[in-house]
Amino acid sequence: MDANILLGLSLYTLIGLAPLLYNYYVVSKRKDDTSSTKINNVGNLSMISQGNTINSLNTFNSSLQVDSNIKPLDIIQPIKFNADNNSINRKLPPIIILVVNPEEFNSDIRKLVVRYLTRNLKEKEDSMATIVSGQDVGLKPGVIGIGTTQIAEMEA
Amino acid sequence: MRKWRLSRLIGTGFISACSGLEITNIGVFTYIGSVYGFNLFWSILLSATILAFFQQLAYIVGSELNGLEAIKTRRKLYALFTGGLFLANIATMTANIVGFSVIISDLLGVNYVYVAILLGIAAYSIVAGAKGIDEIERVLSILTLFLATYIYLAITYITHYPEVLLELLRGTFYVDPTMLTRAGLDIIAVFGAAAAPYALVMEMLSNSKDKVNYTEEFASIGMGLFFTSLAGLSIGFLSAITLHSKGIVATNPRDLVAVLGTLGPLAKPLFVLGVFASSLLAIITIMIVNAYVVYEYRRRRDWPRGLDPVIHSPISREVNLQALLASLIGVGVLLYFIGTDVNWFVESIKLLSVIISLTGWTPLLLIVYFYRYTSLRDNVVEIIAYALLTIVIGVNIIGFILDII
Repeated sequence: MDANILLGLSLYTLIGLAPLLYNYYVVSKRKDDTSSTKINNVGNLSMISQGNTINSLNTFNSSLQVDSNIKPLDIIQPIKFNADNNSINRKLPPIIILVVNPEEFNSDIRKLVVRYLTRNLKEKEDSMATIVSGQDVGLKPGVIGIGTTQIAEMEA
Repeated sequence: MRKWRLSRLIGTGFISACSGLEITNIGVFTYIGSVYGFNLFWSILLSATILAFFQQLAYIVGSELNGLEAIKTRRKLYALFTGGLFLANIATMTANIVGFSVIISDLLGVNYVYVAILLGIAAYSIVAGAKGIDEIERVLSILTLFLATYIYLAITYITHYPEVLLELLRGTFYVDPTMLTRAGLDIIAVFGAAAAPYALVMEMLSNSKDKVNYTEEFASIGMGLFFTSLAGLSIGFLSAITLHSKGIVATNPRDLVAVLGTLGPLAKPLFVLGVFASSLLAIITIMIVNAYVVYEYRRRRDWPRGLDPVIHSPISREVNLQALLASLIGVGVLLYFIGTDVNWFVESIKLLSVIISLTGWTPLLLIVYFYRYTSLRDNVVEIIAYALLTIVIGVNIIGFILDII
């Protein structure tokens, strides 16, 4: 075999294939990590502000605190947390994350959520609504959370 | 040990990768094969690999941030994204309709205008008449298999002339430094053609099945990379052994089809079948992507989960019909301005490639930008992504400037 071919093959593996394989390793590893995350240990969800997932989607500018016994379909009450002086501001519009299982998301739950959002959210607020990954709120992979405003009326 | 089912490997990742191999790529690969022989084959492999990496990121972003939902929260950005993507998509559709129609008209001696209209209607009917995205994906899966005709033709030749294999491997894995200066612009063209924006958006929408499985989808992307690399290299190979050996410079697949008869009676029809599958695959994928982005943009109060409601919506039929008409008008306009007496096919593909390159990297930019907001963010991956993005954008800008000059 030509030495140039071997050298080129090694270079291709390093430049081309290594990033692909590394990314594969990252996602497969993360899956294992999160599957062991205990739902009961969620506690303070400041990880959201660390990951900036919600902040950067313009949804809200806070971290969340939730009841430690979060379950699918639970509604998480948000509290704005000011990182500068460690204070909590409760005067903000209510923001809630509804956690649903993907299996259930297709059925009545989905219709309920869509109907609620369609009926109740004004245009401006609608654009603020987003779906976040359950992993961001410390749930097992595949669980979906929905963050939006005004969802406090949901139960009604 | 986990069992991988073939049906899982031929998933969205595979289809998206294959849909990116359309007429502009076939044209570029034909060109570099005819001019440089095997010498630039490494660029085909490297560009396909870089695209596979962005496909992986597109799947992560699409799955974690619900398709285009994340982009949608920024209305102006989304409008820009939709507009750019739509323009690039129509240009790609036009290129594919023009390309395939001209090849068929050469082969069968029929008027290419009729072929263009028929191809457009066929793609539209498949999308509009399907019961759901699963049915369309089945059609797309079957079409991807026809791309194997390129590989079959190349392998048939290699089995007869095995001595060519070493030369092929050298061209695929050895970068001749003198080539970088000699063929700079043509290397850029290969990388420019590789960035198929709609293929990446299709990958972002693959979370529609409510089932996120990274390892499976990444395996499917890997399979897509393997298959499209082989198909792309085969096209270049066929051009190198026929056109390059005769000293003919070809800038389009039409010239390649013309000389394929020397490889055997079946070579020409098989290659044309491959081009047909490539074109139809690209057009159908573009139609799905167009329908989705416009649906998302217009129905902002709704949260379309999955592609089924999009495909069944009147918006889909309306958007696809408009895109189809725009493409057919594009065919007419190109014909009117460039005329039939010159090789207008080449000119039109070149013109359309410029438009595609200009808008082609915007989805890449957004995918890399939004990757950091996913829970799977990894610093090393992000650095690699930005480095590759810089290369791709740089290459596109340089290519565009040189194209103008």
